[in-house]
Amino acid sequence: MASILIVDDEPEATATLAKFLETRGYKTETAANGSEALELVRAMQYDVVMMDLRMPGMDGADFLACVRLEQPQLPIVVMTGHTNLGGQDEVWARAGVKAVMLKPLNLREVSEMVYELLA
Amino acid sequence: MLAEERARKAQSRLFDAIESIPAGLVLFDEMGRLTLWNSRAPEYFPGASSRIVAGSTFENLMRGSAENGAVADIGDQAEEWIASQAAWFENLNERREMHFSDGRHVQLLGRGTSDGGTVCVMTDITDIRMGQEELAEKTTLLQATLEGMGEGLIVLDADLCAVLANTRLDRLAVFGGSQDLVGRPFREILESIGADIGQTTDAPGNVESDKSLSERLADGLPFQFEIARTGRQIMLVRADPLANGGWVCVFTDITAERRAVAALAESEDRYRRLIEASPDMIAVQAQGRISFVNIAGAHLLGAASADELVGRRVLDFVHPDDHEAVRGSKPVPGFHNDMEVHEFRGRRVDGSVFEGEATGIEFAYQGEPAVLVIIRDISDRKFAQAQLIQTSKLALLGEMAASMAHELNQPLNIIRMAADASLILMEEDKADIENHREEFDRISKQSERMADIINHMRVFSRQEDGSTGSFNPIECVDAAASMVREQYRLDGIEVRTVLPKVAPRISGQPIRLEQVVLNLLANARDAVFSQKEMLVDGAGDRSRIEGGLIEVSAFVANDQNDPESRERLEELVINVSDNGGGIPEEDLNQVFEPFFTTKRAGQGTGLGLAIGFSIISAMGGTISVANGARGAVFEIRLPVAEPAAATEPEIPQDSAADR
Repeated sequence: MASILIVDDEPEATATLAKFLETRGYKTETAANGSEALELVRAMQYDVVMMDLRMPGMDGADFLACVRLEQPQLPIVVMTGHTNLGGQDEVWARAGVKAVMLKPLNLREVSEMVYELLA
Repeated sequence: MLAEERARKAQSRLFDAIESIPAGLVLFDEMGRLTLWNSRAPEYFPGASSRIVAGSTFENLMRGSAENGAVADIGDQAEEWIASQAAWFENLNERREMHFSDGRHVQLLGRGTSDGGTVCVMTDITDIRMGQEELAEKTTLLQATLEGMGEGLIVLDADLCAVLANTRLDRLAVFGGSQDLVGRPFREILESIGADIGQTTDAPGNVESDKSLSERLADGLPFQFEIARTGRQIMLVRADPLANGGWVCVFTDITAERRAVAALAESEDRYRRLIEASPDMIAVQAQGRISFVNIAGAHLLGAASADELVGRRVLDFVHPDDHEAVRGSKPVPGFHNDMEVHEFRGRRVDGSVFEGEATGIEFAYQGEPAVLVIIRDISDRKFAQAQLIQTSKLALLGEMAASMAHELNQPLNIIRMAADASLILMEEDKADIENHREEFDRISKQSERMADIINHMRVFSRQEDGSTGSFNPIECVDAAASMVREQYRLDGIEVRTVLPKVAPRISGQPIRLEQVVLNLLANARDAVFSQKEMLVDGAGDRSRIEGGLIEVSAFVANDQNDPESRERLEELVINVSDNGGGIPEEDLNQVFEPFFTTKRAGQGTGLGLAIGFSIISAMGGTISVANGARGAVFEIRLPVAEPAAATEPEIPQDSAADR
């Protein structure tokens, strides 16, 4: 069973997303910020990390910078409300980001994208 | 016998004649021996009557008087006087006068007789001399008066030529000498002064007429005129006719007076222009009524002219609601630097209302206590201020809009995911009721959260109607903190509130206080951020960055130990502090000045704190800043309008136990 780490400081958001991904047959874990997530990826193997960018404490960008060095192969999906962050696939690709999903999330797209990433 | 008889009769007649003259008479023979004298003679030789015997000499008689101290003014010069008298007796060339110690003046007249003898007649001229002395004394006094008087004086005879002039006239008009004027025609004297002769007026009085000087002199009535010597004196000449057809002319130097009058008029004119040119209303009020008002005042009050306002009640032009305040404001006794300015609502002639600002200064106007009032129309300024506040609010709003979008996006994201998840499960027929209930509940809660956010935005962007009432400031502060708490949390800054449970009420507009608190919060966040940037740039200790903290606290200040404070109104104190490192000491006293900013260009308007300052001042409060241990501490103090209803102890609402 593929495992997905969801990183967002909104507990309701992580809960909803986690619950849905579980109905798709994935194992999920959640973290509220970058440093919590970093601890988890260091301790366990995840197939995908889905993360928000703006979080208190260590934010998404800091997390990306650390993970890029430690686990360059870890697929990361960014979930963000900043519409102007889309369309810069190349930049994201270099940071190890496989996809950028704009909030509010369309769960069908999320579902397809995760499926493709794990295929 | 007949001849002898005739001779005796003749001698008898001679004696009678000698006796009848009102003078003393003595006759000396050719040898200088006294041979005859009349009965009055001894009166004229005081102290020497025993020497009036036949055969005595003139010198002997003189010696008798001198040695007996009967002669005045000779002192120890008796011998010389006697010699001089004797010498006179030898020559008899002139009349001689003797002054006796008893005050009498006696004139001596001597003549040689046909037989070589000498006859002397002595006449008492005391009365004449006394009269002369008195006259001389009076003359001296008159001269002293003429010379001593401040005026120049000239006396003209009937031909209008000078007969007398005092030296004062010289000094006034720079003549060669007053003596030179005597005999010169008046017209010529005036010409020599080089003066323009002004219009003549009846004296005393100010009735001017076209009569020339010559006509005036011909009229023979008192008159006066002014003469002005270009660049020199101005003199007033008063002319009074004399009985003999002459005139007495008195010249008074009125240069200083005329100059003072001219200077006063000039000064008055200058101030009048200044007052009339003033864009502010300047008025004088005495006993509650307008005694003077300038043109700007007429414009401000909507009157056609200033005259229309004079005499009207001052309170007629004050909004009824402000009558009490205007009556209560005391004018200051004089100009000084920090004049107190009172804002009030004024009422124009047509009843329309304007916002004004007034300063009053006590002074004396036409000898009565009065108040000089300066009033400025600040309606435009008030409007601009309101606009500026609104603009600043909009700027703050714009600044927050991006964060707000994020804020709204969070619940929206959850709602969409919940809906999507339910839909997908329904399509797959995997959904159960419990699942739907859970997701709908989620959607409902998140929608409510969004509504809260939106409501707040709506409240904040609303333009208040200007009415002021009392409100709960704690709610306001709490609302401001709640509004940004979530945003700031995402930025790694905790907003902590320590607020009293029971709130007093203060008067003003809640939105304005909220705006000020929001601005302080935004500044605190920026301070924390800029310190964070500094640490990152300088590769500083990152662990310090994560503990961004803004504390908002409020409490009612009322020191019960201070007896004075019970008299005073309570104050609500609101503190906003951060751990952003503080404000440089040199900037502390400038932060409330408009357009002062330490932020980078484009990041701050430099108006936030200035507007905050004006808002708090308008609410009758104060705002100040100091540096605490970790960062800036802003303190707002507001007068409490109604104390908290209950007196139960304040309970911290949040986790502030460690404070």
